[in-house]
Amino acid sequence: MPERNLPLLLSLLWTLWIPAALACTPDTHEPLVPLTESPRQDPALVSLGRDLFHDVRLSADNSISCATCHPIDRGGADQLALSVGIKGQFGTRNTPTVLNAALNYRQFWDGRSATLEDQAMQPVTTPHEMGSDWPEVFAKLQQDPDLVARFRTAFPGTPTLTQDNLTKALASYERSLIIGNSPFDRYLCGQTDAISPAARSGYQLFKDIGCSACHQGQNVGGNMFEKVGIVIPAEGSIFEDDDPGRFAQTGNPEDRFEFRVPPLRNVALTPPYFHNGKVGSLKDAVQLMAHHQLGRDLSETQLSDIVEFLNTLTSVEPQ
Amino acid sequence: MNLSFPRWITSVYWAGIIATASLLLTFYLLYNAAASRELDEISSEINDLKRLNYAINEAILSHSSGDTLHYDHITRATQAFELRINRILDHSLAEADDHLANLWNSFQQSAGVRLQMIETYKSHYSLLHNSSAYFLMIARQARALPVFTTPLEAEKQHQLEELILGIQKLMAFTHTDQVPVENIISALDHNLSSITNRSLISLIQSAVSHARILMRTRNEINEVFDNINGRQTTRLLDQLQSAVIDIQRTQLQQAAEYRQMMAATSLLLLLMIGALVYRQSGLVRQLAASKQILELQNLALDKHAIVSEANVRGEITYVNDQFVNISGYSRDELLGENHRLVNSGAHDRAFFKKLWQTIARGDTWHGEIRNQKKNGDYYWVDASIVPITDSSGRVEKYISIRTDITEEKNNTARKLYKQANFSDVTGLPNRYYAENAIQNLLKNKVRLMAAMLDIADLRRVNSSLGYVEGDQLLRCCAKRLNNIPGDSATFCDLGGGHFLFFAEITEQQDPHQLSADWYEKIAFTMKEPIAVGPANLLIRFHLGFSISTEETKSAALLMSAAHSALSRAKDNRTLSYFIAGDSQSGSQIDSLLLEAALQQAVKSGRLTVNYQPQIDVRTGHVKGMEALVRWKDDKLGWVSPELFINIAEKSDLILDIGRLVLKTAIYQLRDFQLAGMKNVRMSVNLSPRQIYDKGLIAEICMLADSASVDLRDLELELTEGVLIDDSEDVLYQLLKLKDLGISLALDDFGTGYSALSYLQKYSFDILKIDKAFVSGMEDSARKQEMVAAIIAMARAMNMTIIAEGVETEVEAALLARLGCDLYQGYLYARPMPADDLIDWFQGYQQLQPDNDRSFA
Repeated sequence: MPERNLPLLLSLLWTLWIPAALACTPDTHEPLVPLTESPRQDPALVSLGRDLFHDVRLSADNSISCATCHPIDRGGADQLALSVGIKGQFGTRNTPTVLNAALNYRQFWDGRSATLEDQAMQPVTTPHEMGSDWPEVFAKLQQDPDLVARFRTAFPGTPTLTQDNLTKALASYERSLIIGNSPFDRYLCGQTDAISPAARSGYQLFKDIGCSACHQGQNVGGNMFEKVGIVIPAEGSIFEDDDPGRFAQTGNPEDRFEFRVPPLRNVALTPPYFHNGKVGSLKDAVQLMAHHQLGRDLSETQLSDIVEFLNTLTSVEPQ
Repeated sequence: MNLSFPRWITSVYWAGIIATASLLLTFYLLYNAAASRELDEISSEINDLKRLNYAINEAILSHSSGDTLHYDHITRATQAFELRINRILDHSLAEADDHLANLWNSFQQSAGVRLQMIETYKSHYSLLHNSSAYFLMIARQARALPVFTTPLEAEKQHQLEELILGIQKLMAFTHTDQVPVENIISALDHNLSSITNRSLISLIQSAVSHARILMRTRNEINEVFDNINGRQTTRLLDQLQSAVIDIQRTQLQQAAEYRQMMAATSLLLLLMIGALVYRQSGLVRQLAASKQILELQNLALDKHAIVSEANVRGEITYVNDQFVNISGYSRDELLGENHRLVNSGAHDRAFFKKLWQTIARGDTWHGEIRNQKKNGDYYWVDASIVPITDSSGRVEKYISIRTDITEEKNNTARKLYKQANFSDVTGLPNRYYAENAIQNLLKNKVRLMAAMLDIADLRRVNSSLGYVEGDQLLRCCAKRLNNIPGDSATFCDLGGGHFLFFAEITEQQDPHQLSADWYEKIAFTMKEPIAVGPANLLIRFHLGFSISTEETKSAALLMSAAHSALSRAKDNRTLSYFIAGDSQSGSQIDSLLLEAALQQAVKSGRLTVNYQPQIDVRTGHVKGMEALVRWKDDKLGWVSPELFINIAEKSDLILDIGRLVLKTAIYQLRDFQLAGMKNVRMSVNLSPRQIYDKGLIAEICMLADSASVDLRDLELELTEGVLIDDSEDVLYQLLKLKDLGISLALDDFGTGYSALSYLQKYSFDILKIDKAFVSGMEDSARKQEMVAAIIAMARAMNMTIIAEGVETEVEAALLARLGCDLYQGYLYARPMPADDLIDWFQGYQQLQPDNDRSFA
C-alpha cells in the first residue's frame, strides 16, 4: 500500500515544494549566484495565472495571449527581432524572456516597471500589443463562469474580477517561472565537471574582462542599468538607433541610451539579441558587447569559450 | 388621570436622553478616531523603512568592501525599500498632518535621490571595476614590453609605468590626490605621434583612455559614495518617527480625555435612564391604581348605564349587563346585530340621519331615544354615542352610553301634560284641556252646558294690588268654584280671570232653569268677601252660558257661544245664555276657522249691511236707520254677528269691518236720500277699537264728502265698554266727532258698566234702551220702572231715547207712554237689505195717514 502511494506522494510534494535539484552553499566570492530554489506560490493562483497567460481574450481581437510573445516552452521569448501584436503591428523593442523575469529588479528594457504586476498589465492596453482595454477584457472574462469561479476561489471576497487580481494571478504564475537547474548552477555549487573546460575558461574570461561587472547576480544581469557604448561609443554601430533608452522614462540626459542590463540565463534560447533584436548570433553579441562596453576585442577562442559558458546558463526543466 | 408629566416635559426629557446618547456616541467616535491604530501602522512602517534603509547601507557596504561581487543584495534592499515607500503612500499619510506630510515629502525626495545615486553607483562601479581590471591587463602588457632605449620612448615607457603605479595607488587609497595622475596622463598623451613603436603607442592610448575613465568614474563614485549612505534619509525617517510619536501622544491624550467624557456621559445617561425607569415603575404603579379605578368606574358605569359598542356599520360588538337586562335580549341575540334591533320607531328617518351624520364625522351625539324591549315595551334612554377615532381621525367604532330615563320621561310627560292642560295659577284645567274634553264629549253626542265666568275685579286687583294678589284672588275663586257641591261640573281656568265650567245635561233640563240654578250656586259661593292682601273684596262676576245641540260639533263654537253670552251678560249685567246650536252657528267650526273664514269674507266683500228703521214714536215717521252688518258664509250659512264681531274684535279685522260698514252705510244714506227718504239719519255701530283709530275722523269726513252726505245726518253708536277706560283719547275723539255735527248714541244701555257720570262726561245725544229691558216689559213692573227711570234720566240730560227690540204693540204703547222718542224693532221692521228697505219704506209711507208731514 505505501509503495503504491509513493509516486503520488512525491508528486504532491513536488507541487507544493519546488526545491532546487541541488542544495549547495555557493561561493560568495563569485559575481554569479546559483539559482537553487524558487519561492513557493499558491497553486490555485499559479494555475489561474497560467491560464490567463495563455488566454487570448486579453487581446482586443482574441488573437494573441501573453504566451504568443512569451512562449514558455521556447525560452519565454518569441525569437523575433520585434514581436507582432494585434493586426500585425510590430513592437518597438525585442521581447525579453519571461523566464526568471521575477528575478529582475526592474521590468522592460527601460526598467519602467518595478513589479511583475505592473509589467503584466501594460501590454494588455498597449495598442500595438494586445490593444484591448480592461472593461472589454472583463466583459469577456465575465462570460466564463468557470473562470469567474476560479477567480472567486483564488481571491475570496468581492469583487473578484479586477485588474489587480488579474495581474496578481499573472505575476504569481511568472514567479513560478523561476527556473535554475542549469549546468552552470551545478558548477557554482561545486560540481566542477558540470560544465566543459572551455566553458570554465569562458567563465573565467567573463569575469576577467568585466562582463560580470554588469551581468552578475542570480539572473546574470537584470539588476542594474548601463549605457550602451560606455567605452566605445555606439555611433555607427548596430546600437545606433533613435531609442533613447531610460532617458524616455527619467528625462535625465545622463540616462540617454541607458538600458537595463539584460539577464543572461537561458540567453542561448532567446535570440535575437539586444533591445532592437538586430543581432542573431550569440557570438556576435558577445563580441559587440566586449568591444563597446569593455573596450576589448576578443579572439575567436575567447569568444567561443564565452559562448560555451553562456550555453551552460540554459536551464533544464525538471521532468 | 394625572399619570404623567405634561407632554412637553416628557418630550424634553426624552430629548435629553437622546442628546446624551448622541453625545456618548460622538465621544465614542472621537475616541475611536483618536485611538486609531493607523498611526501605529505608520509608525511600524517607518520602523520597517529605517530597517530597510540600513539594509541598503549594509548591502552597499557589503559590495563596496568586495564582500559580494554582484548587486543582488543591493537591488533586493532598494526594491523592498521602494515598495514599502509606495505602500505607505497608500495610507495617504500625507492627509493626516501638515508637518508629517512635509517630512514625508522630504523623505521621499531624499529617498529618490538616494536610489538614483545607488543606480549611478552600480553602473559607475561596474565601469570602474572593468577599467581597473583592464588597467591591470595593460599594466601586465606594459611590463612585458621590451625596455626602449630611444629617449622619447624610454620617457613614455617611464611615464606609463608611473601612470600604472599612480592608478594602482588611486584604486588602493580612495583619498589619494588625483592631480599627479592627471599630470602624468597629460604628459603621456603629449607628443605621442613622435613615437614609432606601434605597440607602445596602442598601449599608451588604451592606458590613457582607460585612465581617464577611471579617473572620471572614481571621482563620480567618490562623490556618490558620500551621499549614498542615506544619512539624510535616515535623519528624515527619525524626524518622521518622532513626529508620528508626537501625534500619537497628542491623540492618546485626546483619547484619554474622550474616555473621561465617555465615562461622564455614560454615567449621566445611566442616571437619566435610571430616573426614567424609576418614574416608569411609578407610572406602572399609578397605572395599576388607575386601572383599578377604571375597573371600579367601569363597574359603576355598568351598574348605572347601558353600555354598548358598535362597529362602523352599526353592528353591536359589545353590550354590558344593563343592556341585556333592559332590552330583554340575550347577549348572543344582540352581538353582531344592528342597533336597529331596539329601534322603537318613535323617531323618524331624519332623526337617525342626523345622528349618523354627527357620529360619522367624529362628533359625539347626545340625545334621547325611545328604544323597544324584546317584549315590545318601550324604554327611554338618554344616550351619548361617542365615536372612537384612530390616529388618522377615521372612526373605528362607536361607544354608546345610555341611561334609562323612562321614568323621568314619564314624569316629564305628566308635567308637560299638566302644563299643557292645567293652569299654573289655579291648578284647574286650562282652555286646552277644556277644549279637548268638550270636544270629546261632543263627539259622543252628549248634551253639554258650558259656562263662562268672569271675575270682574281681577283687572283692578292686578293694577292696584299686584299680580301676586290677583293670582291669589284667582286661586281662591277657583277653590270656591271647585268646592261647589252637587252637580259634577268641570271647572277650568282660561286665564285672565275667566273660568269655564261645563257639565253634561239631559235633554229635559231647561237652559233657563239650569243657568239660573248655576248662577245662584256661584253667587252663593262667592258671597263671602275674599281677603286679598290688605283688602277684603266682594267678588263680582258675570256668567254666560251656552248649550250644545245635536249639530254642535266644535268645542270652540260652544265656548265662543258661552263667551258671547258672557259678553252680553257683562253688557246687560244680567244672566245670559246662548244655545250654541242656534240657526246662526250650527256648524262645527272653531274660532280660528271662523276667523279665517271671516277674513276671507271681509276681503271678498261677503259681508253685507242690513238696515233697520227707527220710527218716531209720536209721528210714526221714519227718522233714521241702524246699519247692521251681516255675514252669510257659503258653508256656515248665516253667522251670528255676536259671534263674528266677537272674533273680529280680537284682531284688526274689526277695523276692516267697521270701515266697510261705515263706507257702505254712508253711501247708502245718500242712495236712501236720493230715493226720497228725507230727514233720515244713518246710525252706524263703532267698535271700541275704531274709537282708538286716529284716522277715524279723517276717514268719516272723506267718506261723507265723497258721498255728499251731511255729517249731521250721521249717528255713531257706541257701547258702554268704550267708556270703561275713561281715557282722554276717547274723550277727545268723541268731542271731535260731536264738533263735526255727528250724533253719538250710547248703545245697549243698562247691560254693562253704565254709569251716570259717563253720560254726563261724554254728552251723548242719544240713548238706546237695550232689548233686554224692552222685551217682557209689559209683564214686569220692575222693567217698566227701570225704563221709566232711564227715560227720565235721559230727558234730564237732553238725550233722545230709542228703544230697541220693540216687538209688540203693548211694548210700543208702554214706551210711548213712558216718553220714548223712537222705536226700533220687529214690530215695525226687521233689519233688511237696502233694496228691501226702500220697498218697505214706500209701502210704509202709504200706510201713514200724514205722509205729507213726514216728508216735509
